[in-house]
Amino acid sequence: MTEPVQLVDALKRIEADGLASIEAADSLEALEALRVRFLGRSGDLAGMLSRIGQAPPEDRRAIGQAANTAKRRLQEAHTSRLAALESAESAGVAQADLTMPGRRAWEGGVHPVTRVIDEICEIFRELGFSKVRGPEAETEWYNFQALNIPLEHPAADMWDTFYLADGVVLRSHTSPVQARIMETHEPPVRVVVPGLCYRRDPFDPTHAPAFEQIEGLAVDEGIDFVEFRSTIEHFVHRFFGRETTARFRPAYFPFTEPSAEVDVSCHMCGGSGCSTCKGTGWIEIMGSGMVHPAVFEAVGYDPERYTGYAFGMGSARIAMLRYGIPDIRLFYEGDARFLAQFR
Amino acid sequence: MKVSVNWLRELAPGIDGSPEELADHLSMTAVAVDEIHRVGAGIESVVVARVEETTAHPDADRLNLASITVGTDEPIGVVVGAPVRAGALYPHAPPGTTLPDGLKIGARKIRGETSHGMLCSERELGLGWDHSGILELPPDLVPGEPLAEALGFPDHVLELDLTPNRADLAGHLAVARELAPEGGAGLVLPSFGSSADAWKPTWIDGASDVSAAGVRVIIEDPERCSRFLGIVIRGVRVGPSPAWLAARLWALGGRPINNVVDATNYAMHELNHPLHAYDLATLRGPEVRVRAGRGGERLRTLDGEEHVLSEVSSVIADADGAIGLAGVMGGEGTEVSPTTTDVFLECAVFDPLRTRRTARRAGLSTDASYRFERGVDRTDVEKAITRCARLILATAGGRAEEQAVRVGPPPGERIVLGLRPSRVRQVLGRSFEREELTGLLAPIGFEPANGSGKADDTPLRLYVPGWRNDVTREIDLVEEVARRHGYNRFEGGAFAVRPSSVPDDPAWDRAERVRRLFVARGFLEARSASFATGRRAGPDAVELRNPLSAEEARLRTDLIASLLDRLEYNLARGRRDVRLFEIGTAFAAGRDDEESPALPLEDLRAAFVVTGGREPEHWGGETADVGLWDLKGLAEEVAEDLLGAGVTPILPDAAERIAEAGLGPVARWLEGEAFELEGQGRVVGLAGRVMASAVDAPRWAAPVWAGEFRLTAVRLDEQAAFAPLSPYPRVGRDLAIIVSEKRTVSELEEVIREACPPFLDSVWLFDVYEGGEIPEGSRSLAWRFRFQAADRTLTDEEVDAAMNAVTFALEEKSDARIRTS
Repeated sequence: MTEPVQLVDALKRIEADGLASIEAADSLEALEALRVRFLGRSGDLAGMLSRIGQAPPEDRRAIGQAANTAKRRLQEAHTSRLAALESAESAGVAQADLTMPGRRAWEGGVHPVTRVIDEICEIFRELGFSKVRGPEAETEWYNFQALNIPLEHPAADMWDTFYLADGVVLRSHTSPVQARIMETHEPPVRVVVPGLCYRRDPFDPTHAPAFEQIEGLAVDEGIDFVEFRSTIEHFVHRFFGRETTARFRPAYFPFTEPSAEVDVSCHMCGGSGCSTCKGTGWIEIMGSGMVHPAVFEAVGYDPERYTGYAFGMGSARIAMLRYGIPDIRLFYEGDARFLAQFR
Repeated sequence: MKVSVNWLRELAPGIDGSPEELADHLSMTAVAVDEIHRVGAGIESVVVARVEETTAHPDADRLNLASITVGTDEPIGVVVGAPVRAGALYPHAPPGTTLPDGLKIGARKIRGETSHGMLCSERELGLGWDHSGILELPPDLVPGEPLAEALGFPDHVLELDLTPNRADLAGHLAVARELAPEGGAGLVLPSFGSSADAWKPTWIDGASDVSAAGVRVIIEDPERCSRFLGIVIRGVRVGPSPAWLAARLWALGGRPINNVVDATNYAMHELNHPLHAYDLATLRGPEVRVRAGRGGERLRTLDGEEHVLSEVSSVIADADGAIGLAGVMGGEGTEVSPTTTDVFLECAVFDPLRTRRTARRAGLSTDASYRFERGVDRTDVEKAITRCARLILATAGGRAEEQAVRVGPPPGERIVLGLRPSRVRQVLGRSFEREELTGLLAPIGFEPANGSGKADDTPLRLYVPGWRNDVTREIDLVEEVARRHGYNRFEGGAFAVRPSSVPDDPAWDRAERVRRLFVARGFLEARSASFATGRRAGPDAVELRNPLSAEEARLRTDLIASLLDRLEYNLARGRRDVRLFEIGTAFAAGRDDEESPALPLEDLRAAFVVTGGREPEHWGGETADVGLWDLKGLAEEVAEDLLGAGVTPILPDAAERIAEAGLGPVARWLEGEAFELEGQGRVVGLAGRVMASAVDAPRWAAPVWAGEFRLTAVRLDEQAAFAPLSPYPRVGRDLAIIVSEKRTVSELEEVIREACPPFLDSVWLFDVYEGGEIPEGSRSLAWRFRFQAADRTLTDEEVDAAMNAVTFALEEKSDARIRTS
């Protein structure tokens, strides 16, 4: 019966001794020596604990508790003394000017148009759209006729097109991809198509001869104008915010019918009219409509069975709206001062 | 296209609402209205004045004094800077007036003579752009009348952004039909006076050759012109138009010319049919024929331009030769002039495509060609020409010959289209009763025809009005239903998530992987138009047929070409540190595609360019510039992380191989500091130092480094795979050797790896030393080794044995010797 009591007492003595010594330590070196002596792998506490096996099993619990208490108190005392000594030591050292700048690495950035493209595509991907692409150089067939646009017709003047050779153009819109996708896939088709388009517009604050568009196409049984409208409204709310409203106006695109121009309420003035919306309260963001049966016929879909909608919007234009950028040329000049703002 | 709100209200008295409301209604149901202008506003105090006499200004050569009256006997003296006629009427702005352009009028002395107000030009009144002289007013105005009131001003003009399908809206009547609550039923054509309105022609018909009223009309080529109607009016007095007519033309931005020409323009704006009036005395024959132009034939049009014609052009000719570009513009030699007494009036239907070609070839686009290119109403030509003739009779007098010419086949049966209510519901997602459908469509001319069924899927049969030649199939009627109902009233649906049979294009994932890597390495993403300057384009660059400029005449053969342009842009703005990347398409000539051999090759690429400091300058130490080993490190990351490829130096004899890889001009790379990124035996990318001669850089610029690789080579499978972490300790060793310079590090490392047991964790070169005690032609290389086994604690003996094996192999195979000390 004496052995456990002796062990517990011994532990308490070590504890008391240790606490006093630690409290009295006057340097980091001295403190470290005490830590080794009391708490180290071959220290006093460890020495005591190695003897716990010799105690009768019924006493081991009490000894263990005493040992743990001693260990915890000593550790706490050590930590608090260490902090006190560190503070005291650093107070004596000359302080660096901490207002000086830190060492940095170069920061990269994603182009604002890319950000907008990704954001738009993500919204449509959530609705089941896949993200595809198509060639930038196209045949006249895909750029015009397959989309119900006769050549030598005023409708074809809506796109001032670059020619590479007879019958070969730089696509003037992303819509040719509609025909390409439908030719190679059966409904249901749901795609978004980001890509560059080309028009013979010299660079000016609102035009670029090459610019990004996003095309969308949804074809299935049972898609109607009401679903088209609510899908586009959903997009407008997700991209521009709940408080933004969309309105649909009659328009003309040979490959959609009914065709609609989509306006959103101006985010700058909230619809009361300002310079951004040219006083109208509305900003045009996309051309759209129900896919024209002639387009279905051109790709071999049954226009009586399938319906669908298509839309196209200028990603660069939308990026201008989103970030308040006044001049489209900023996107294509590559000025690092501009690009570095989008990190 | 401009329309006058006053005119619309005259044609459809039921139109209600402010100009803004009308514009909004049109925009939301028919055609976008871009702008609303006010016409004749701000001139309320301008009055009609008659010039009684003019005398020369005693003290100024170019000024005159005019004595005017404004309805009383009291003469008013004004100084005028342009000629005026005694007895004619002019607008007078009395002192105290502020004109629309902000000019304040007072009584002021001009070179000693007092001018009480001024006489105004068209521009000063805001009625047009002409400022060459004082505006002579129509003679039917009364001196003293307020001008604006006399002309029916102020008016509002709506600027319509007409779409190619709705060219019918270039006529006021059609716009009024869209706006009138009761549609076509609410339209009234204003009377020109009972005697003029009473006149009616008797048509003399023929398929291609008709003579009547002393004029012969021949359509030589029915493909160019399907109908040609002509009326002869004799004994007209050509003179100024009355004020109401002049006001209509002023409002639309036109200018009154004379009562005959103005009548043709009025009828065009009202009924959307271009008309032309010839001075009958100048027509040889007299005959008028529509035919192809003849090679070398010459014609001077009304604008004074001379055209050399070809078979492409459609012309109007008399017995001597061409007198007009059919459907585009009349000729100078046959125009109506103040001395004209007999007029031949034409209203025809010219073919859209032929008119387009005729206009294009002549470099003209006119009010007439605009309308013919888009198609006019074949069914109401009679109405238009009769109305125009009546207006001429009303304003220029004369007598119209009763017999009138009508050549070409009459319009066929009225076109009937079916519209199934079930189809309307399928496309629009809302059910419409049959009565609702006719209620929406009949007012704009789609009247029900006989034989309409009652069942939901039997079509409603509807006449297509002659002016709507854009409506050719059922879906066109569905659109009419939708817009008449109002697009924004199709509410209530929920957006849907639906499946797609189309897989994602992997290019987008590849691009995203590339983008992440470069952004993480401190690169900014650039985007460029895909054009390359001649200097930067490769030899097989695709040329544009119709470029905007010489700078943008070719398509880039590589992306570095674009990035070097971007780099120069930044250098020119004093920026030394530039780190850009781009993902985009490069083009090359020659796709071997039988279907469309002229299609170029397209290749999606990623590229980067970097110059300047390795990191931003910092006070804590000097910053080195990006150098060869930074570039190689980046190339290695790209190759290993993205491409699953290796990086190999480009050897001097590899130029041909690089050229074959088709990654842009070879000559751009500085020999000896360039690498190829190679995977599966293919060159998929290049990286290295760009020759200084290839970049327009200031003297202070740092070396320029760049790289480009094919996006298709970017791997989609993630490299990452879990390897268990060994719980056993790791043992480190260093080894330094002295070896001939001819031995490359990569071959030495191969020897090392071969000699090592499998428990080699990693080995890397950490020191290179030359000179000092190292013999000439040799260098000292030092590697650090890390050994670690997965299943046990390594013993010193095992590790020593491994290092001995390495040493032995290096000595035996590479003639190396261990460097001690």
